[in-house]
Amino acid sequence: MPIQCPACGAANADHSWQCACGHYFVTTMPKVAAEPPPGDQSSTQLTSALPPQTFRLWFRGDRSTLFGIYIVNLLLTLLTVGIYYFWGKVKVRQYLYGQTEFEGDRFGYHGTGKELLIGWLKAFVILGLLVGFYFAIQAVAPGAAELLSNLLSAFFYMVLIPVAIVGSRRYRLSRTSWRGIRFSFRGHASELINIFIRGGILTAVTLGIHYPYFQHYLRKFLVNNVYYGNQRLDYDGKGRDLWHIYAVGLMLTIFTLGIYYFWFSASKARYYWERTTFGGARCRSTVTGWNLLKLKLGNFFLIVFTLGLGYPWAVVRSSRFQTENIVMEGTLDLNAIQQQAMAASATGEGFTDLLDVGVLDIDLGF
Amino acid sequence: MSLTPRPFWTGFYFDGQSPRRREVSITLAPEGLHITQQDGTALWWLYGQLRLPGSFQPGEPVRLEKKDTIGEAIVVPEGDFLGALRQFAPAEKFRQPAAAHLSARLPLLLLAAGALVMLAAGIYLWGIPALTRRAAAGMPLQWEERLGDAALDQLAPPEMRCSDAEQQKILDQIAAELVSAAPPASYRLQVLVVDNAMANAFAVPGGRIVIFRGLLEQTDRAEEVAGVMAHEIEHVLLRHPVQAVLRQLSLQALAAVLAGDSSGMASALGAAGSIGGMRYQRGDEEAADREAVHLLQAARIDPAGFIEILEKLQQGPGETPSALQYLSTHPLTANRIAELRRLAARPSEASVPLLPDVDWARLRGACAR
Repeated sequence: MPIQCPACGAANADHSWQCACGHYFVTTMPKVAAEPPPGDQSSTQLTSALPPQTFRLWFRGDRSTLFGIYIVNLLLTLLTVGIYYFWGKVKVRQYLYGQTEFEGDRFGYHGTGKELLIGWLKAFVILGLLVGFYFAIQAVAPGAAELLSNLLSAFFYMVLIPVAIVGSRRYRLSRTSWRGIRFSFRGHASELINIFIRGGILTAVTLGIHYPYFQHYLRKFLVNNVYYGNQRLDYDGKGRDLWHIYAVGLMLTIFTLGIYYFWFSASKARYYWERTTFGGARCRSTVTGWNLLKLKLGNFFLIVFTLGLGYPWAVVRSSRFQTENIVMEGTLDLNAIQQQAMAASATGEGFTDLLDVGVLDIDLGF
Repeated sequence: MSLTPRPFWTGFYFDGQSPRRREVSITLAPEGLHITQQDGTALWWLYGQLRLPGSFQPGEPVRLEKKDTIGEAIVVPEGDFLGALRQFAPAEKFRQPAAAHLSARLPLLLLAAGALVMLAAGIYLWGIPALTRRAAAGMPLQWEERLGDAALDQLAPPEMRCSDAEQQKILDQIAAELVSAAPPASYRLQVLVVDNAMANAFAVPGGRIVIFRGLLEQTDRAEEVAGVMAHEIEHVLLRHPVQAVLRQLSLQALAAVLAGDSSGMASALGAAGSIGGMRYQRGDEEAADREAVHLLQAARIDPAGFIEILEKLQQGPGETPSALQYLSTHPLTANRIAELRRLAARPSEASVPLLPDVDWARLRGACAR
């Protein structure tokens, strides 16, 4: 079923991601690229013939193995003055992904230390040039530097952070596989910059009332551009619902002196997941505020009272918690999915390391 | 380990085109492996074309990927396939150390942990002090002043400063007397009084000295303030404040490295490190005391004033609990006073009373804002 490119009209027969004229089929991508049986136009998905099923994730890792990986990484990182950090990161991800199982098969991580190092160096040079430029202006014209520093901080929040978010998602998903099929992220930094600028301005103008809508667009962008092979994830949440969750959450969090925050986070996560579909299957999260509180508080004590040595244990607890609390239900014909891998560089990943951007841990919504 | 490794295995084959799982039988041969699908189609993979992604623990499914493809692989879910593979394949292939269970790697891990602790302790005890001394010595004055400005904005914001003109004039006069007796240095010394009841004083990088109103109120004559000032001036001249800042920064960096890629951990450790705030090293106080007495004597100011104010602060908590503040950042031991007495007792030029005409009782309490 070739689709027409809305920009130049050319037929996109092979369902590639980008048309010859440069147009991206981000939103027009068909749900399943396989052709429907001829004559049966009503069933565009091959999944309808399958019985509904429940799909679960499992985390099989154990804390002692991860602890061993961390200790060795730490030692080598110190001995190599930090260079090994990137290779260590790969070791940790290989382990964590390799211990996560879905339908009897484990995920794979295909990033390399060299890629991560190069990405970090590129990001370092870019940031260094920015900072150097700022100091040069300050030395020459201190008056202009005042204005420039405001511009630079706006640039930082509105441009660099979206670039970092998109870049690291692109890189990370392009290096993730399951049953040999790669994931990919096909959103563009320009779209996210747009969302950030619009969301930022509207949130400021409406004194925060717009904020849940901003989060809604953010979530939509981050989920709707995730592909497994040629099959896209879909987020069909509504800004209004999210606004309701935020309003209740904010009020009760204030009344309970912050304790409700965990219940708020849990209800947000549940909403995000139950509004996410993959093919004919819908996701569901079973996370509760109480369980989230136990996880976070437990991890905090594990890290603080062991002077950081308990960190791998906390990672294993979090991974187990996340996988245990996600269920997928419905009809899903995995075998109809086709490989459609995307290239991505690790520069965005480098930015996230340098900028220490907290929003990047939104992958699973906890 | 058996001498005849098992050559026949069952597993799954993934073609890299779709996630379909195909059951296959695998036969290990000296040059490669034979993969036979259930419909009879066969594949022949040479060992040189294959790659183990990461390491696998015993009992885990083993994935073997074909190089230069995106996702073509076999998975053998059970048994010691890796062990058999290593015996069939050329000796140098698939030799990556498997991330075995903790028990198997325990000696190595303990060794690594021990080495790590020693390395961290070495960096903390010698590496960072040596590095910061060197960096502080090479730092341009302009940077140091900028660092000091940032610290001043935090610790003594302009709206908190006392601005009694006469008080400032007298303090500047004392500072000028001390500076003229000190070896020439490029610092632009400046004394500020902060409207705070705590009895404290400190120097920031770049040569600014901050005295709290609470400390000033405890003094009975100019020599006492001169003593405190001389001590802080010596901190500046010995570059202690900038060293302390650099040490703090490198400790945070070390903590970040130790914490790996977790930003949360790094900031937690960073916060833990800054609770104590900027601290001088143990020897720094003694050095500043020693040099302060020299400086006072060179300026012909009676060093007894310095000892007097320290003793007053030591007994002070009865009347003002906040007097302890100075002592918590400038630990006052019996040793310290004894040492100061010994230093002060050395023969020197006779001291001249400092500013005998000033109405000190009025001046010390003045703090117009």
